[in-house]
Amino acid sequence: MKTWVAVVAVFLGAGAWAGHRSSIVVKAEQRERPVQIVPAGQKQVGSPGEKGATYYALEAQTTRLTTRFHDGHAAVTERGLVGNVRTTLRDSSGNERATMRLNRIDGGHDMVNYEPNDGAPFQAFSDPNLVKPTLDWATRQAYGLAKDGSDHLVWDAGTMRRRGAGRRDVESEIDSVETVWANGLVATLTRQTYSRRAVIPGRFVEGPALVSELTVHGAPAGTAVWFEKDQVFAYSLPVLMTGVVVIGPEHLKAKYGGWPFTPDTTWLNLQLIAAHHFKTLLAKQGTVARACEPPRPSRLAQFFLPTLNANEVGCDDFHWLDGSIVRACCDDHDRCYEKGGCDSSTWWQWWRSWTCDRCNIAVVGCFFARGSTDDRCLRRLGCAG
Amino acid sequence: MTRTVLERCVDFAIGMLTFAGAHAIEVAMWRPWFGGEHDPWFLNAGSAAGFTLGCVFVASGVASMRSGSARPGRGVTLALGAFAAMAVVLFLKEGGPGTIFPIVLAVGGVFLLISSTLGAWIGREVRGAVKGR
Repeated sequence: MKTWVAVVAVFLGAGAWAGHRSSIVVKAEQRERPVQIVPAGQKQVGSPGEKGATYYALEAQTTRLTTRFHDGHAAVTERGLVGNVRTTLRDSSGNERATMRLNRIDGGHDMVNYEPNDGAPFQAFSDPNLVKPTLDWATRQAYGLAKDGSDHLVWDAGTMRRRGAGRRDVESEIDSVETVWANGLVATLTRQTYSRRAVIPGRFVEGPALVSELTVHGAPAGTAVWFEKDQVFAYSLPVLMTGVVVIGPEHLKAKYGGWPFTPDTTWLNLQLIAAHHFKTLLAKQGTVARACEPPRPSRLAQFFLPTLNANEVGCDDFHWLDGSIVRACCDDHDRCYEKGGCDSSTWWQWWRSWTCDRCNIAVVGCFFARGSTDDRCLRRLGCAG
Repeated sequence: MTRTVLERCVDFAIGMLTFAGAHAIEVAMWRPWFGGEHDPWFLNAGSAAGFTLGCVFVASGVASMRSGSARPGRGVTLALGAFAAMAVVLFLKEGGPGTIFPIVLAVGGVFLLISSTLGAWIGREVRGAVKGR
């Protein structure tokens, strides 16, 4: 017994001494990273032509995007529970032309799997500097590849296209777009032509327009129109507001010199959905932002109610599996947690919501059954295995 | 306190101290020995997992070889001690438990149990062989 006590004491003493020295070295190395200081009061603004975090946060709640093209093709792009994206493209006769899948493989990269019916399939890394894996991007990419071919591909302005093929203006080929969002919101966009009329006194518009109609659980809820020639955006949500909101280039001139971007079909649907969403929040709770900072738990409370954001890339506390087949399970789980606002303290709280539990059921199933999560199994839509 | 209860308490303590000691060494030597990627934690690197499980294996084997009863479940008590230490370390370490901590606990526990019972079994066999000589 005495021998054991002596061995353990030496063991722990050596570990504690070396641990102290190592932590000093690590801290010194961490200090060497330069910090970019921004002067107080200086506001950082992004490039006005690029879509910002709010757009992508809203877009992430789109579950299905159905796009019909002038040539009769139709693309249905769906987002799975864990953020994976799948596009199915059909021709005017309903025959499947191609499928494309986007799966996140690490913190920034996605794997694109493209399978045409009449050509060779391929998989490729997306370029995170160029591509945000939105449903709209997947739709346009799949359509472009089906129309132009998928051999000898190059990146061109965030889109893969065949070397030598000209840039395709997919936006102009779109006939209609249906955006299915969370909470039963569905926006359907069509192209129409308006005769001359005044949207508000003194503001006349006419010509080709993108018209988006919003429904909530099937009931009409609002309309948005983008007048292409006049560059005027107008929307109304009869239940949530009175009158019509009209934004023309003259309203944006002082700040941006006009429209900082050209509204497209997907943006218009999402803009109408966002207006409804935020106005609903305002009507219900008077604010769309969090009222106060969440309490900061003490170390003791942290022990019993630990919190951690789902932002550690790979398998948390299991990183020796990062290069294994279950890595995808961990990344899917992180995305699922991020989307559901979950953390380690909400691991199993079915009495509040099944959101986090679904993520956990999926990751456990993924760990023990397969190398990837198939959310169709959870949604009872039928899946193999 | 009977001898069996005392023996179990000692095994539990050995398991706890072995895991804690192995973790302390991993924290200290995380960069030079274990690559230094991610936080120091035995399941964050294959070599660290091997080191910790090796420590538990050796501790269990030595404990079983040196003294006490030859009961088959001896390694389980030691594994329970190591598991308790693992759980405490997981929740107290910097950054707290990750988003899949129940899986980490379950898998880590299974590894510790296998390592410990295997060590105890080999220790018991060695002891029996030495005694029978």
